[in-house]
Amino acid sequence: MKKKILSFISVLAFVLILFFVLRSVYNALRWKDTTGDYLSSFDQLYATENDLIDVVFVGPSHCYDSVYPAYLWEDAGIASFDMSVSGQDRDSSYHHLVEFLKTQKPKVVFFEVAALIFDQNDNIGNEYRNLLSMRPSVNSVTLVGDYLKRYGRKDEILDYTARFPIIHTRYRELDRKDVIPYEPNSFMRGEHIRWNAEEIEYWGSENVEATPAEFRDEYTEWLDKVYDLSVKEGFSLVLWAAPYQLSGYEKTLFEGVADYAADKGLVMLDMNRMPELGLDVSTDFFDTAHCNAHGAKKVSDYFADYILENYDIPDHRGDVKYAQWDRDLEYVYRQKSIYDLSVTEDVNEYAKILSEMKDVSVIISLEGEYGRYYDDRYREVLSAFGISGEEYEKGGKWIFTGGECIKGHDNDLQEDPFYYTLGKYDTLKLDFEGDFLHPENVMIGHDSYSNAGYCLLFVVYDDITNEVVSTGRF
Amino acid sequence: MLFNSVEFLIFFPIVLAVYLILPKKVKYIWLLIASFYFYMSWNPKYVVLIVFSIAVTYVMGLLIEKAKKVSSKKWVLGLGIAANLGVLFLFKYLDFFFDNLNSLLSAVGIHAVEKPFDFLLPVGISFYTFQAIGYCIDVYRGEIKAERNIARYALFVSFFPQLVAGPIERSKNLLSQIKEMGERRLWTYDGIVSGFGMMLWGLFMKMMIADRVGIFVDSVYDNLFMTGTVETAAAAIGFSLQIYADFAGYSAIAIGAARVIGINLMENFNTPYFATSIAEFWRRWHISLSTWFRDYLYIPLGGNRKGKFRKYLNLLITFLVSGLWHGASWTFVIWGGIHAAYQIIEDLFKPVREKVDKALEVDRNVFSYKFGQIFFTFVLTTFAWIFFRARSVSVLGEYLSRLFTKWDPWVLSDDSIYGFGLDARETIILYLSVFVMLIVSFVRYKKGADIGEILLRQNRAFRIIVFVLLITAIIVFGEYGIDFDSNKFIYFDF
Repeated sequence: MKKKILSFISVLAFVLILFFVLRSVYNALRWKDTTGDYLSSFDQLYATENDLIDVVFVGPSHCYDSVYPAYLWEDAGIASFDMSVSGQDRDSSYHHLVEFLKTQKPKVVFFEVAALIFDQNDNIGNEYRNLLSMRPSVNSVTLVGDYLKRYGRKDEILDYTARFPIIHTRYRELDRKDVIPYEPNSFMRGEHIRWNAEEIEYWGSENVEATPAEFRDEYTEWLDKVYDLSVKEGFSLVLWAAPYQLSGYEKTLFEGVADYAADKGLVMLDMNRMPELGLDVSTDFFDTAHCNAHGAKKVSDYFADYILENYDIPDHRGDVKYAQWDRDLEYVYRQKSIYDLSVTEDVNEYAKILSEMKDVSVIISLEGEYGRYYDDRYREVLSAFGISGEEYEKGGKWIFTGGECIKGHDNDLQEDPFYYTLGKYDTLKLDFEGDFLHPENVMIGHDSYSNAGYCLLFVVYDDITNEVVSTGRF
Repeated sequence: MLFNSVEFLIFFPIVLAVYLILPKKVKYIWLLIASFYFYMSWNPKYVVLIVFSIAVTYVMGLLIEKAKKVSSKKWVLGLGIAANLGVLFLFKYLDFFFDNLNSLLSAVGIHAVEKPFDFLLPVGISFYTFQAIGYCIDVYRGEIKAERNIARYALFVSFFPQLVAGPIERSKNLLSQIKEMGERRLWTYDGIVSGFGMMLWGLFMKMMIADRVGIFVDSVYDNLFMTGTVETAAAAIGFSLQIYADFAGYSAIAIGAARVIGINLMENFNTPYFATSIAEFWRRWHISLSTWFRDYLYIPLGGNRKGKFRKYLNLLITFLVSGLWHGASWTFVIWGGIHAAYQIIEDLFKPVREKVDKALEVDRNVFSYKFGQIFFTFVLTTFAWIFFRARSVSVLGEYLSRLFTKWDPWVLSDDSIYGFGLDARETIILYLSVFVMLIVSFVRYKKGADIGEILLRQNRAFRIIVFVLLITAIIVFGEYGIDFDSNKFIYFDF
């Protein structure tokens, strides 16, 4: 009897230990966009408390690039979210919405229909994002089955369902974001923030000739499934198409969606037919298929007005439960500052932007020939950071973090290196190796951020994402 | 359905769960159904072949037993063997036969003969036909009684853990256990723990070592034009590791799975690379096949009872046939011939070696002497594996030429050795895995027990840690998944 009890306990212990070990391993290996783009909003959804989101936008990249929930929050306190994944195909969009509805009860669902313009993902990253970034559940397994059966890849269903057969090779590419959660995923609301612009030829349906396109039965079936879900779950369904440089074929497809919507008594907001949005081809797009943050502002403002006009959605601003939306908004503009840092060539402008940024640590390194051959052009800039005239003349290296200024190094050959912990796990080393070209004068981890021959160096370390987001050399 | 597939991960627990709840007397029926499903998961059509083999040898067994005269018994036995070997010839050797026939015909200016059939090699055919033939011979020799229950006999031939790549079981061992299934307790905690440990260890060998080093070996053979002495030598050593980890790994899973079910299969590998001679190597390598050839071919040919010349001739015949059993290609036959030659030379020079050792006062009991023997035997077997792996005589020629004429040690320092599919990271994982295998093999060598039995003797906490580590290592670092397709067990082709 005793042996049986001991055997039972050891089997139980084995199962429990194995479960916890494999869960930890899974969490590290699971599909994540650790290369930095994070083009799936599932982690952000899972970081959201239940029943907070009133409005959701479902769709592929067209969606997360066109609508920034941060702007809807800024405009009207609307708690919205982009349930958006790159290359979100028809099967995925439906099942992603089902997943969203497990924890949220939105009043309105804006369902983007760009999934009509592509079928199977030709980008393996997008396929993984869509099939693997959702938590394992019956819903995720059903999506895997639907997707792979549709494209005649039934033999892969077990691999995708078990997940480890696919994700285990990520041990070759693990980085720290796989182990330590990526902080912005705890508050961002699904938008993909891009501030840079690329001029496109045109946008809008009036600029393109319609060409024939078959509105296939499977498209209708897909929209029917979403419609039936809206009836079952009791949310208002609005179909929409994001603005971009669409083709004649796509124009015709969206007309098909409009016909479908009319039949079902739904609204179809084809933004390619809304010149009143005032989108500018030279400033409001990131590329031919996507808006940037400026374009998204115009689209999001439109949605905010549309929602206020047509639905009774409360203003949640000031409610502590919605702090994620506040942080999200702050983050969107913070990314704007980071973008501005990357494009400015003027030291005064650079310093001004820096002085207005929060949650960053700034390393300033002043060394080299600035005193002898150059004028005092940096003196005033650095005095704004509290660096005195005497210190300016001697040169040195400083760290500004949390409103505090710490002198790191005097550029003295005899002085020991100075070490400082940045963020959660990086270590900064400041030193002076005799000349201002030396790569080891400023190092963060293995990476050199030395002046590289310039007199004045700024290194901007993001305390939220734990990474260097800008270096300015003047 | 491979042992290292998600399908088997689902199949095996279901088989076990149903097996657990069924009454003892019908458990074998369930195992028979499971075995046929397992076999048919490769190619349902080829179930006809195994059914044919079962039916013929079942009837032959009964007829042999019933026959009064020895000559009649011989006729029936001959018929049974011929029927099985006929199927084997048709599906495995027909292409080889016609290729050689046509080469001969073209040499004398006659047009080639067209092959009447074009078959895919049915998986496991060499294993189950030999097992069935062994049964007939055992009945003929009166070592066992013919089985009357056809379902039990069918399970003996088709028992899924060892169906496709052995061990080639003896009726005295497996059939008698199947017959006792209704009478004895099959499931024991110790059996499950030990069997589970064997299965995990087999998967470790297969997925961490065999399939990883296989990437390098395949890449070298596929890109011979890029290689020199270092790469070809490394690939030869790599293939020695690959084929051992692959086949011994498969056998460990088979033995482990059977042990979980409550069936003890015979040992198939016993640290062969620790052998101090080629003869010893064959007592440790693919034991179920070597003993099959010993019992059913070498000894009937006269063994070593009819003088030195006959002994060497019998050895040569046995190993040439063994080579041919492994594959329908002259490279396998040459491989068998090399092993026969090794043993003949070993035997011939034994007195000389003893005299030299005595004259030089060589102490044979020291570690260095034994290590030297082990090392030399490993070099010889590794060299022979080159012939086994080459697949064609032309590849073999190219390989040997590069091995002996293109000295290129710089590939180790300029890292171009990592250009054959395994980068530095993967190579480190391989080294660590091989190191673990070496430790386990050493313990096996010293203790004389398999890893399942050794783990059973340890404390529960240690076992749990080992199991968790093995599973985690296999899941994370094992070679499997969507982008990996070279995970077939090598011996399935034989």
